[in-house]
Amino acid sequence: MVNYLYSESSLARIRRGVRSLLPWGRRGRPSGAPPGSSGPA
Amino acid sequence: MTRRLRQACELARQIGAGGAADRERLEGFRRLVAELGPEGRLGLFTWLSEELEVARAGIAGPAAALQSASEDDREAWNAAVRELRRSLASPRQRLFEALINTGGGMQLVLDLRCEVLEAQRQGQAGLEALEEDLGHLLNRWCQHGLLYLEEIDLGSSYRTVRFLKERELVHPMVSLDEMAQRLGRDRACYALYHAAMPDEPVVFIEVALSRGLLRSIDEVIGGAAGARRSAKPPDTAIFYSINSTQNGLAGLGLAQVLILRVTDALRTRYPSLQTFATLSPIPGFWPRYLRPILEGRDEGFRLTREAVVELLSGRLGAALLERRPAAAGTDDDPALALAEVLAAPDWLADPGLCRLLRRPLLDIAYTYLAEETDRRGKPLNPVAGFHLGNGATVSRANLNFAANTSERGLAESSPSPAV
Repeated sequence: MVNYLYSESSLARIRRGVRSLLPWGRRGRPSGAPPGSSGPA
Repeated sequence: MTRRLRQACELARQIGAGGAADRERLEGFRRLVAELGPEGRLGLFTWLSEELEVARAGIAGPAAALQSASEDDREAWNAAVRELRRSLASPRQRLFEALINTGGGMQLVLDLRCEVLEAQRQGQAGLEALEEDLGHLLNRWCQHGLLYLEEIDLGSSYRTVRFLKERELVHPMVSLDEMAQRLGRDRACYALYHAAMPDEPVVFIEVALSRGLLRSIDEVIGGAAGARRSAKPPDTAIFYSINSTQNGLAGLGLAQVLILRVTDALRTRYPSLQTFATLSPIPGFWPRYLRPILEGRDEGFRLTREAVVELLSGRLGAALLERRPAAAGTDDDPALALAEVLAAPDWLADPGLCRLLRRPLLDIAYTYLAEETDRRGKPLNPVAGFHLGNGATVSRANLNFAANTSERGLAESSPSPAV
């Protein structure tokens, strides 16, 4: 197996290629919230 | 052309005109698509791609109007451009947009694209226009703020957890308990959903949180999974499995969207994270790369058989010749001996041999991942192609010897009698 490393620049490269999308939808919880705070039904 | 296919084509031509009759046409088209079967649908795909196109009569007027319009008269010019643009709208897209708006229509369009992509992979020509329209439509469908991320954890619904367990194809599971382990301490799972299909994610990723890189799948989901646990907060996130649940969305970049959103989410949740990495398989290494080289089948690789023979000189070469199965040939070709030794079931149980083989096999694997390319100049290995294409890096130091000794892992990236 192999570990591919994602550096800041590789993430920035993906970010440039991905248009703005809503990170959390109506059913989701904010990304920093602890599990169980409002999970999927 | 069969009667059914003729009817489906006729309906496809009429759908999108609007009115109450459209609903009946759509229902009829869906029924016929199901009844056609794979072979009939291939005929439909070819017709849609080659025959369902705007007619000259429809664009001649708007084209002439634009030709004679002056750009100085902005209002007239813009109106002429809009009219020509409307007249050029793809009738295929009109058909698929109408289909998407019917109940279950999105899944049907995804399934059709999946079949089109598979037909193209099998060498079917003439489907380019259809695939372009389907890809364009689905790309728009995925870019309108309709995708959202959810964390799947032990509090998620049984249905969701079971769905992920069944769709995990990178490291498949036998029981739901294994899935629960992957949602427990120092593990995380995130899924990307589309608002139009809220019951099932379109792509999901499994993550291990650790201190430092995890270098074998056993450390992630096997018996050694608990050995690396630390009381300190994690500094490394290991993406060890990414699965798409809709093959019809292939090539639209959803896995990249997921990686990006998940790194953002993990950073917020674990500010201590410094490193984002994968633990990835090397599919094809043995059956499609090393084995053909060792057996002298020239597949046009950069790595030559002679270069491999050089790696096998000295003690390793002698050990291989000594260890080769009794039934094997008697010549002193170390490459052939390596192929024969690796094809035997027990070579991994010989620590001395593993010690000697470790470095040459890692060197060969590195060449496979980092240097071998296809005709388009893309990495030959598809997983490397995905991650390196994202800008991730691979180094010799991050290649891990015998890191997945499951039957599946061996069959994919290492030699095994099962291959």
